[in-house]
This record gives sequence, structure tokens and C-alpha cells, in this order.
Amino acid sequence: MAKKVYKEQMSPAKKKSLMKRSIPIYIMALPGLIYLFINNYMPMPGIVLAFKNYKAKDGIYGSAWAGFKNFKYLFSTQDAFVITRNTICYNLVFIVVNLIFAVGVAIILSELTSKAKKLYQSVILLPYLLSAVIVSYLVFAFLSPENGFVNNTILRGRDPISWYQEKKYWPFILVFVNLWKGIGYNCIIYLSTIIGFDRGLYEAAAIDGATKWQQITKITLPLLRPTVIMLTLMAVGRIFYSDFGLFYQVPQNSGALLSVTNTIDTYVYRGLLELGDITMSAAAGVYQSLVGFVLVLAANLAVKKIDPESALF
Amino acid sequence: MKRKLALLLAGMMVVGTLAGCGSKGEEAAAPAAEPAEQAEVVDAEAADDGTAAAEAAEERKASGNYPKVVIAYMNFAGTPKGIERISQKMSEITEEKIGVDVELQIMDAASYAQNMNLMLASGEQVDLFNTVSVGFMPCVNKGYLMDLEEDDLLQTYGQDIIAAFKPLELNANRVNGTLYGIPVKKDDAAGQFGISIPASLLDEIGYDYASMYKSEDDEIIYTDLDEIEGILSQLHEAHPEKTTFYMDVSSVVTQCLLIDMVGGDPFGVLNDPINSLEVTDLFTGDQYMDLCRRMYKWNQMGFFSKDALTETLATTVQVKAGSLCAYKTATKPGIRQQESNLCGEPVIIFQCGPDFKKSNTYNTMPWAINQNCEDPVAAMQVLNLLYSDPDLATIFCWGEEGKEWVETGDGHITFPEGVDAQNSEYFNNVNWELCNQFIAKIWEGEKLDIWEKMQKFNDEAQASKAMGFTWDNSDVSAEYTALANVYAEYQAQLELGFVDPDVVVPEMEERLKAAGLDDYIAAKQAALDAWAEANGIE
Repeated sequence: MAKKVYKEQMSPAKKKSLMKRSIPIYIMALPGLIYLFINNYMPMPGIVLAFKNYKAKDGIYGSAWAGFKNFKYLFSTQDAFVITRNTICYNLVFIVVNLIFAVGVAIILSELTSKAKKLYQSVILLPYLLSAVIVSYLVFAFLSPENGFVNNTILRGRDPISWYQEKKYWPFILVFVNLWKGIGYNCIIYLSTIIGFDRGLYEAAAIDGATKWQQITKITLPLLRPTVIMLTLMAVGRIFYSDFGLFYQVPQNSGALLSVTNTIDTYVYRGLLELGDITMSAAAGVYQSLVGFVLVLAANLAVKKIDPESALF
Repeated sequence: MKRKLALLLAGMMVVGTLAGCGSKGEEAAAPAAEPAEQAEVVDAEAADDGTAAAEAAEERKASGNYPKVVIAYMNFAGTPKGIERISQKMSEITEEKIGVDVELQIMDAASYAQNMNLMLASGEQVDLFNTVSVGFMPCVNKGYLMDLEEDDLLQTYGQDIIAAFKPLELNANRVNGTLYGIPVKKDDAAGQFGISIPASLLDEIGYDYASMYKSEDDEIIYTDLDEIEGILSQLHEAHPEKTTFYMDVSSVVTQCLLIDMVGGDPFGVLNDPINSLEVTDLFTGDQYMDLCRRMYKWNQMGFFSKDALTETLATTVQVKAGSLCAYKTATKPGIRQQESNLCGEPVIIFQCGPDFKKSNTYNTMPWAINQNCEDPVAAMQVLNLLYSDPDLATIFCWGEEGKEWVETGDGHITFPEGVDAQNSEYFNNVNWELCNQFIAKIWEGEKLDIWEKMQKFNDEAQASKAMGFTWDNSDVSAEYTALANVYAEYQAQLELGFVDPDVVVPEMEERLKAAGLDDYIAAKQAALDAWAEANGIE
């Protein structure tokens, strides 16, 4: 808040000198912008593929138009409901659960003073660096019906559970695995934000007799709000995308679990693996992007209504 | 600040759009000029086949300007180390015979389809390629393949290819009358429901297999599933710690039943493929139900591992590791040797079904010429040589003499001193994909008359009535995706006997019907009928 007021009161000359001072920062951002341009903007004309009946002979622009035929397969089946439901519901749960735990862990870490703090931080970050394939086998080591840890220790002597055949457990397994894998990374941004807070505020509060809990609820959380909103907004924008590795590898691609593990991404992948049709994948990409775009705008609008200062744009 | 950033990004988008348009436009225009020139050459000389080919070769040699033909295929081990040296070795022969250089592009099976799709779509140079994994029909549908008879290309420059095949075998690669592919010389039939068991295990339970061969020369014991069931339960008793039986889920339907998945998918099949062209539902057919019931029984008897649903390790690797007793395989001449090699010990092969040639036998993985190819004549001549020149075929299949293989003195070849399958710089083990392995040298362990036996096996096997039928399902692709998703949910559970088929098959059937199974079967039947009429098949 303070920053914005300060900016509005600046004279034009001051503004210009600020611009000048920012030039090195822009230069630093240049490689990232170039990457963004090459990776995210240059392929954009390819969107027309979604509306084409692609033939290699005629090229992308020479191929005949197909209207919305390529979108048909996404919606024309009974799977459309299941995959949309799975994608959105899982992501909503992920956003809420990840937020609560990431902020919680970040606050705990920030309050730690022991030397082991760095170690804890690295240890909880480690799963994030593992590929989904490795994670899937870690999970398999626990859940394998024959040799798995769970069936042979916790459930020893009782009826073993055929984990990769029983749907009802998987929503919980997936949420847990996602949390375990992502929490180290998710809490980094919160942690670094918390560390940047003015320690004077805490000292003053401590002198006034505020308990640790009061310091957290009255200082840390309110200051953290803009960061929370921004990261949540970004997560909402990706609500139509699912972590492919999580939903394809971790359930070991077990057919019996499809109705609780099939998301838009895995559905498209399975469809394309057999059909090999790039126009259909382009259509799915366009659909995902459009809905994601609308969701970001809507979420931002909602935030603007509630708390104009925290809105992204 | 934000507004400036937005402006910058918007600017980038515009530039991006232009950049995208520009490069694509140029690419599309460039290759168009070439084929026209080629066509003239072909037209002028098409009259006399042999001489036209020779003249084209002479002309290239005289000019001293050797065009380069890029050949792509896939293996299971990634690009081999010796790829450049082998390309050179092959070029030495092709330069001398037809005045062309060749360059190999060998990709791992995991990425082959994706890479090829990209290369074909983007116009990168690849002239000859095997359509395995990429899919013959998808390639045709997307317009990637060249008409091989355009201006009598095959007739003029591919005489040896024509001689290597029966007309029926070539014609199976026609789609709507246009020839797009050349089949590979390989095992065209497959013995259905073969079972492979290490001899040591059979000896252990005292099973007398030696007396079961019909003749001394035989390598396969013909029997039935009840007999196998007896063996398996003895094995299960003797080795409770091992998995008794396992089969790769993806090939249960294709390798265990006498059915023909016409059009390449299990939704509507020929349940009586030798006599009838009626497309019917696989899952309510007796064969499928019997198989699922049998597997359910076997699973109840404890033959399968509880982990079978998520198993990804190859069966032979499991046998080698000592964790599996028996597995399913498709049989053919040389199968006992092949499986023994893979398992690391001698195996005995049983077979419970007939030998059968499916409708897609000749067009599952034909070789094709990229429609973007700049010099189709050179490409066709290279292909022709791969089917007819034993020296070239041997290098293509096995690598360079002295480096990858040496003569053993009795007509075989084998690894030189100090070289093995692991450190060889060119040991692909995919000769079933490499044009004509029948004319290449024979590796040690294989019988010298393997290819005569193979030809006999191919000729004698029963063939599907729909032999050569291909189908473009793009009009019903939405139904196909939906059906494939339903089937994926049940396939492994049913075919590995984890659920009771009498309960679950009707449930699956109901969902398949809801996903449009009847429409899909009707579309397939209509296409098959049209094909049969066009080809004069009753």
C-alpha cells in the first residue's frame, strides 16, 4: 500500500530517473523474455491447426478447414464429464491443501532457529526434484499388492488390499503424493516472503506482550496475504491442466483406476497415443488455454472486488 | 510499468505470428518444384524397365554428384554407436551399384513415432522409413506417404521388390487403389497361444516333453490348454515362490485367439476369420469369454502374481531373473532358439492354437517413401537394393564384417572376439523390420534353412479372409476414443483373470454399447463390404 501511494506522488522527472535505473533489471530479464517469446509466443500461430484437417502434403496453412470437428471428440463422449470433473476437483483440493500446508510449513521453518533449518528445508524440497517415474515406484514400493510395505506390515495378517484395482483409495493417495512432492517447492516462496518481513514489527509486538501465536495470526498472515492471493490466482489459471506424471505414472497406468485418475491431459495422451492426430491435440490445447485464460480473468476480477490492492492486474 | 510490459508482450505476439507464418510458407513452397523434374525423367525412360534404372544410376555416377537418401527405422536400444560407420559401409555398396549415398537414422522405439511424426510434418529430410509404431494408416491419412506407382516408379526402379513378393502381399499396402508401402520379409503368420517353459523346470517336475514332438525336426509341441493347466499347477506346487504364469496384456487378444482384429482395433472383429467376413463383437463372442474364464480360473488357482496388473517387466526378463515359470508367446520357425536366447536357458515351446495369418500381416510395418522426398528415383533404387543385394542386406541387418560379425566357417556368422550384444556398435535385433532379412547372413544358433522353413510356414498358415483390408476410422474417431477408454478400464483385469468375466463382461459390454460400439461395428462392416466388393471377394 505504502509503495503505491509513493509512486503516485512522484514527479515526472523522478519517474524518468527510476526508469533509467531499471534498465539493468530489464536487461537481466531479457533472457527470460526471449525464452518466453520463443517458447510461448512463436508457436501461437499453430493454434489454427485445431481448426484444420491437417495433411502434411498441404502444410499447416494449406490444409482444409475443419470447423469444430476436432473439438467434437473432447465433448462427444461420456468421458468428458469424468475427465473434467477429475481435473477440476483434484486441482481445487490441491490448491486448498497445498496452500494450508505450504504456509504452515513456511511459518514453522521461519520460526526455527536451529542450525538444522537448512537441512529440513532441503529434505522437504527433495521430493520435488524427483521425476514422476521415480515417485511412481516409491509409491509402488508401499502399495504393491504382492511385496508392498503396507500390505506386508500394517495389514499383515489381514486381508491384503489390491491397491491398483481399488478406486476408492486413490483420491486420497493422489492428494497425499501431490502434497508430499510439492510442499518443499510451494513453501519456498512463502518462506522467502516471510524472511523479508520487517523484524521490527515482531520485536515491537513481543515488547507489547504478543504471544507467538498472536504474532503469526496478526502479523505474518496479514502480510502474507498478497503473496497467497497471487500464487493462488496463478494456480487457478492452471486448474484445467493436470500434472501428467502424477495422474499417469503414479497409478502405474492401471486401467481399473481410470475413472478416478483420468484427467484431460491423460485422456488426450491416451487418445493421441493411439490415434496420433495432432489436430485433436491442438484442439485440446486450445480448449485448455481458453478456459484457463477465462478462469484467471474471472479470479482476478473477484479478487479486485474484495481486495483491489492484491489483484494481479 | 504494467502497461509497458503488456505492450511489449503484445508486440512479441505479433512478431511471433509473423515469424510462424513466414517460415512455414517458405517450407511449403520449396519441395514442390522437384518432383515435376523427376517425373519427366521417369516418363522419358519408362519404356524399358531394366535399362531405365541402370541409366539413372549411370547418369548419377557420371555426374559425380551422389544424392543422399536418409533411411529411418527404430530399434529398442537407441541410436547405436556405429551408425555413421555402417552408413558409410552401406554407401560404399550403393555408390558403386546405383550412385547414391545413404544415411541411417535409428531411433529408440519409445520416441520413434513422435520423432517421425515431427520429421514428416516439418519437412526434415527422411526419404525411406519403416512405418512401424508410426502406423501405416495414420501416415496414409495424414498424407505423409508417396504413391509408389506414380509414373511407374516401382515398376521401373523396383523390379526386384516386385519379384520378392506375391501380388497379394504388395496389394495389401494399397489404400483406395494407391500403393503406399512395401512389406517386410518376415514371419507373416503367428502360432496362436504359444506357451514357453524352461526345460529345466519341466525336468524338475518330471514332465516328459521329449516324446511329445510329432517328428524329430519339430521345435513346437502341439497341445491344448487343459494339458498346460496340468503342467502349470504342478509348477505352482513345486515353486510357490515363483509366479507361475504371466502374459503381456497388450497382446492377449492378438496372440491367443483365432480372431482377426480387422481395421486394427478390437471393437468389431472377425470371430470366424477364415470363413466369414462378418464383423461381430469380440467381447460377447465365445472365444473371448472362454479365454477370460480360463484366466479367471488360473488366477484363482494362484498362477498369476498379485502385481500382474501393473507389471511392466518383459516376460523373458522375469524368467531370466528366476521369478517366472511360464509365459505366452506367439510362435514361428526359430521360436525355440529365440526364446531360449532371451531367457538365457533352453525353453520348450507348446502351442494351443493354429498358425494364422491376419488381415494386416503385410501392412503392419511396410517401408514407405516420404511424400517430401526430393529424389524418389534414388530412394526407390536404394529400397530395391535393400531387398535384393545380400551384401547390403547383411550390413543393414548385422553391421560390418570384422567389427560386428565374423564368419564361423559353417555358413553362420557370429560376434568377433571380445564383442558381445552389450558392446557391439551395431546390434539392433530388429531384423524383422529391415526389408529383407531372408537374404542376409544367418546368425549362429539359427538353423541354416530357417528362411525356407519360414517361407513354408508363411505359405501353409491359414489366412484371414479379409487379407489386405485397411481401414480409415477417422469418421468415427470420437467413438473410437470413447471405446478405447472403456476397454482400457477393463482389459487387464479381465484378460489376466482378476475379475469374474461372467459378471464384468456384461458390465463392460453395456458401457461399450453406450460409447457407440454398434455404430462403430456398423461403420467397419460397411468399409469391409465395400473393400470386399472392390476386390471381388465373396
